[in-house]
Amino acid sequence: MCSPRLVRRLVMLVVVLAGFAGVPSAQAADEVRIGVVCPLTGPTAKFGQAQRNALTMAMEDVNGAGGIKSLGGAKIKLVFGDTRGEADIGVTETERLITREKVHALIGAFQSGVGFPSSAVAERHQVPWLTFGTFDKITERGFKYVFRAHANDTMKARTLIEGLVALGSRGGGLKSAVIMAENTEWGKSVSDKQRGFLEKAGVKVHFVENYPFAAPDLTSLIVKAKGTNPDLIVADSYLGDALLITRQMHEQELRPAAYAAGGGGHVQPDFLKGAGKLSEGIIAATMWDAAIGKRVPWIAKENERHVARFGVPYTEDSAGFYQAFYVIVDALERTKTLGTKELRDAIAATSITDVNHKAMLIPYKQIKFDETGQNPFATALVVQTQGGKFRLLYPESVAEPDAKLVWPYLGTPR
Amino acid sequence: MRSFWQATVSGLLIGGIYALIALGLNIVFGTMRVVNFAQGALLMAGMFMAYWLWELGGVHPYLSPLVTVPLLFGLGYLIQRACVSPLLARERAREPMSVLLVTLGLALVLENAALLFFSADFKTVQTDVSLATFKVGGIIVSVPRLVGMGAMIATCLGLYLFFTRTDLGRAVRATGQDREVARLMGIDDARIYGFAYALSAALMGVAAAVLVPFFYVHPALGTSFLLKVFVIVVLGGIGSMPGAALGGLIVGVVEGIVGLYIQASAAQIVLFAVFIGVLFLRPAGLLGVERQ
Repeated sequence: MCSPRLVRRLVMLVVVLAGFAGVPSAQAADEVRIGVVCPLTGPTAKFGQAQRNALTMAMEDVNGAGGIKSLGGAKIKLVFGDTRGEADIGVTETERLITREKVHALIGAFQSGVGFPSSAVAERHQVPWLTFGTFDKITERGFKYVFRAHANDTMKARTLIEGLVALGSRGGGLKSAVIMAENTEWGKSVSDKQRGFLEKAGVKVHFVENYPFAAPDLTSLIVKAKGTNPDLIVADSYLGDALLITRQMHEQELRPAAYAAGGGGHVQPDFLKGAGKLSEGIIAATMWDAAIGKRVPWIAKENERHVARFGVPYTEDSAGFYQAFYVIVDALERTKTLGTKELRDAIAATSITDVNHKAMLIPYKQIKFDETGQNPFATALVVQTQGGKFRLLYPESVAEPDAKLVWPYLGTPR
Repeated sequence: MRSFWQATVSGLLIGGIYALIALGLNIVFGTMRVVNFAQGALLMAGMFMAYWLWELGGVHPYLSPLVTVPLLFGLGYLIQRACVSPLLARERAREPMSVLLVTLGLALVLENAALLFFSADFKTVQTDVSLATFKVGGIIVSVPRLVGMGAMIATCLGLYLFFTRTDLGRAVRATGQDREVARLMGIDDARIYGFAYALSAALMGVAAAVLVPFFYVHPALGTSFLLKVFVIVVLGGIGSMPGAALGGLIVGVVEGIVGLYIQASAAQIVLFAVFIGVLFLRPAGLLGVERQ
């Protein structure tokens, strides 16, 4: 029916179109491309580089073990997009990874402020996005392609407060609290949740103050807090403010039974160095700590391999990227054909309960996703700074068997 | 009541530090009639110098001015001759708007250079005085901040004597009051401008030395202080050294008391309301002299 000339023209047209799209369609069958959106340069570069390290080792493991079996041993290729820690660059890099590199799934973007707009790009192009970033709203926009296996800010705040109350009952009880949080988006939303969970637990919150970020002096806030004589101080601060508050608390002799932090500055190495002995006994929420390995042997081994190769243990963010990677691998193993739509459906159907599954590097009861894309079983960990290191104290199920509780803060009688 | 006095004393002490930085800004503002947006960045530069002296050479921050003051004086002089002076000469006839923009550009260059070379890590110096305090009648006094207050008073007196008793000082003031007349009297205004800018940069070495033991060092820290210090200079009176000192103390105390009874964020609102009020009632500032 068709003349050979027409067929030839059609074939040429297809070839030309394929050329225009720049599609490496020939290799699609034997290669899965995962885009990674993270800060590889700029002020937060050291975080992004740790994330790249963790993912590189994971990728080599999967490929070395024969790739994705359900896809005929397809190998995984990581394609990195450097955000430099900035939202607009994150967005254009995500766009590039999707349209130029034709990635099948994405992981990103460390900072919530970068991940929030970048994940919207993935949604628009219908490419699955596995989040690292705690901002609740990332998964609360009715998106179909955005998932988060780890805890969000609300879950992290809940774990911190539950942990504080549990540890408090061992230490002598918590009756009242003051919350000091910086006045940008993060501090405001986190302090709001902490207040809610504290009040629910029956702890009186004297006041919550959102102080100006990077203030040169906060003595009057400390003096005001001291006037209410709280058992607990919760601070949600970036590093500079965390140092200032901790030092000024010491100067003004504000010594609550417990001094806790919602994360941020109080858990960074520079803080431990700057605050010195004043960091002893600070309680904080984190998502991952190497001490989990004391209860789960394979995690200890995995961490030792990481230390042997890169010189440092996993961090909460590199562990989070690792977890996201294995959630994607798990979903790939359940797909028959390689396509972003199929992959999305497979991720949405995730149900991991085996504690030895690699996605359980951050262990929960289960990894699955609710209709918003959030894992409802995700929790955080509560750690305490002791001798310049973190000791894992809560939840009981993963707490270090030999860790003691430092209580009250700085050990001074009140 | 104890809280009230504590907030007042603490406010006075941090106000002393603000005043010290304000003295530097005021010298440039009073002589060249230009807001030096690079003042905060020069302070940051001074703090990094003091930090590295401590970290690499073990030099106590309080001794760092011996090195940082001459260094910053040189840097300030260089900046003025290379960047500010040519523009000032070109815009002789009108308000030197582009000089303002150049100082802003300089601030950005210094800040980003610090980010590039020293990264965004927060650096701290732990000395024996860092956390030292003593009590007077139940009021806690921070030793490093008290040292800052002492340095401010000494600097203020020194500057006062310099500006009233020496030929060079009087020449600086004369240039600030009326550049044309000063020229007619044989004062080399270009040289005076260079000197004033260098002196103001050098003062940041003193401010850095008192800040480093109890604060942190970070590339972006200049901005935390700059806006406040600008308010202080206008509040106290442009070109008036006692005015800058008084303005600094007032700002510190207002911050302390408002922070105690309302909250720290509200202090900014009250501060700028006071600032606007003063501008209405005394446009020249509290201790400034009205110009014809």
